[in-house]
Amino acid sequence: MLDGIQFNSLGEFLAMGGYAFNVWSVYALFAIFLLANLALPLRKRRRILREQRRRLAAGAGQEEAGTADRAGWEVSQEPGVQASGWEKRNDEAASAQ
Amino acid sequence: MAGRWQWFHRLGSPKWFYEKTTRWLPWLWGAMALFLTVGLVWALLFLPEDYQQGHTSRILVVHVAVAGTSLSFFPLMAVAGTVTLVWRMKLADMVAKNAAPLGAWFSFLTLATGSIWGSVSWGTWWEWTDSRLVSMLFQFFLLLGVISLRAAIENAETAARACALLSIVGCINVVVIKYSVDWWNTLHQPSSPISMEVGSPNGPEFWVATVVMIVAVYLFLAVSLILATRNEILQRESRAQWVRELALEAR
Amino acid sequence: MSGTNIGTAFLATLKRDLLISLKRRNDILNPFMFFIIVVSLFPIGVSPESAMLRQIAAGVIWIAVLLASMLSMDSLYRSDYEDGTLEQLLLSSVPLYLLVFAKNIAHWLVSGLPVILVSPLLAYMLALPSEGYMTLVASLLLGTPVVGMLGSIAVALTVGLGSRGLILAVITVPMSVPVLIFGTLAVQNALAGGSPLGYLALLGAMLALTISLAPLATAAALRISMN
Repeated sequence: MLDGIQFNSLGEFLAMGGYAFNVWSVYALFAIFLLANLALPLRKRRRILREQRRRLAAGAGQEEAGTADRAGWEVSQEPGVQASGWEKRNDEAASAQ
Repeated sequence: MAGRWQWFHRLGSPKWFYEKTTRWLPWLWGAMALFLTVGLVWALLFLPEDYQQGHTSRILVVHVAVAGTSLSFFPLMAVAGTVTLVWRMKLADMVAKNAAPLGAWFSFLTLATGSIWGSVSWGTWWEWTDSRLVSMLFQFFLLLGVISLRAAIENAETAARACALLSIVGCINVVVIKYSVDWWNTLHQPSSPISMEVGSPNGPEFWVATVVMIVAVYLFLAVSLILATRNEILQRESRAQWVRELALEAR
Repeated sequence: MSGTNIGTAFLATLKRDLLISLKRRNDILNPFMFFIIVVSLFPIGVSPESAMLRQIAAGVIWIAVLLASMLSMDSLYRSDYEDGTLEQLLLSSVPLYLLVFAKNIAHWLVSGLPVILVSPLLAYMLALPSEGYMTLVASLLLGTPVVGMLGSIAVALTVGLGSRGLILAVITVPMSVPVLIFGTLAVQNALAGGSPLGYLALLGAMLALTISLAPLATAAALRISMN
């Protein structure tokens, strides 16, 4: 199995027959690309959930004090949720089945 | 009748998608890690040195996999756009919205790796006579156009439908661009028309490594797009009861 | 709807747009002047040598046409949007894509045609050999409507936006690349002594494809933008 390895030493592997810069920069770019596009969504997910919890906590306090549904109002200020009527339509279609 | 279409309407429900992908994601992560490890080890350690290109053929494994995958973005966005326009399914738009930037990253990486490979094989970092690089450049521009249109329109529904239409038009256009650039190049072929095909008579080892890497990159595309779409769902559905419960559970 | 009614609406839209552009001469004149100025920058910026200029002449004129059409297109649906005409058009019982097509024709007559008419003069100033004139004009005749109708889709998508900035160009210019390729290839082929008919036929095919699809896409885009 290990006979198939094309290099005799670590130095040879790193040198890549003189094309170290080209080969390793491509693999570095590839690695950064993969890691960034997996890690960033995961980090964003944690941030969204944290903000959601904070908002829920704030909303619960408000409701106890007997004021308007402040949590709902705050959420609607988020970009991407303005078209709530349009968004609901699919849920209704799904539940109507 | 209703039964046959039920899956389709369920698919439109973000909650259904979120729950399904919660179950799929571990498998997708695992498969991606497996294929990526096999592909990388094979490409870096076991791929035989090419008699013409030496170790630079190791670049091609990554480049070909990324380039091939990046071609799937416009068809993907066009299909999602059609679903958005015809059935007004919001899930399709959530996918399309996140596919555009990811596609731009894919196109950019294709251009970068292609030009690093070219610096050895062609002796130049950029070569207008390689039609693949040129049409990839214009695909990159078109994706930037879709992204900037999305950013410019404030109303989420209008932005969704406008980007859906632009993606469909863009998908047709990318094909026309591809063929016209090919045509243009066969007529402008100068003294050294070296193309990527030089790497092809490498034997099966090269292609098997590349196929493994292509599968790995497609799996990566699926995982990354699903993660981003799930974030989008959490944001847009933040008022739904199940999202609230989820936020409290995921402490 | 009877056939005559549709025809009347088509002609009325065409006539109305032509009259409006006569009143708003600046929207038409400025892009035209921009076109001439861009072309005249190339001898200064690249080289005044006629040997160099004749090589790039066709490409320079085509690129300047593309840039100028981005400028002129900006006003395509703006006034109609502002004064509410666009809403009336959307409510009309006449198919919207026919009215859009009429507007496209009107816009081409006032913005594309003048550019084509003046192009032989600019080609002469750029030292284009005389064999290329006919092909250049023919390629512009076939290609500029394609660019205009593609741009019309992008304008329709951005019609309600306060600051659309450069989005129009970012969307439309990459889409116009095939037209640029075959337009310049036709002229270069004519200069090399070959027949440009093949490329002109391809431009014609693109024109046919755009005439049949672009007004439909523009109509859909207008409906999206107007909600």
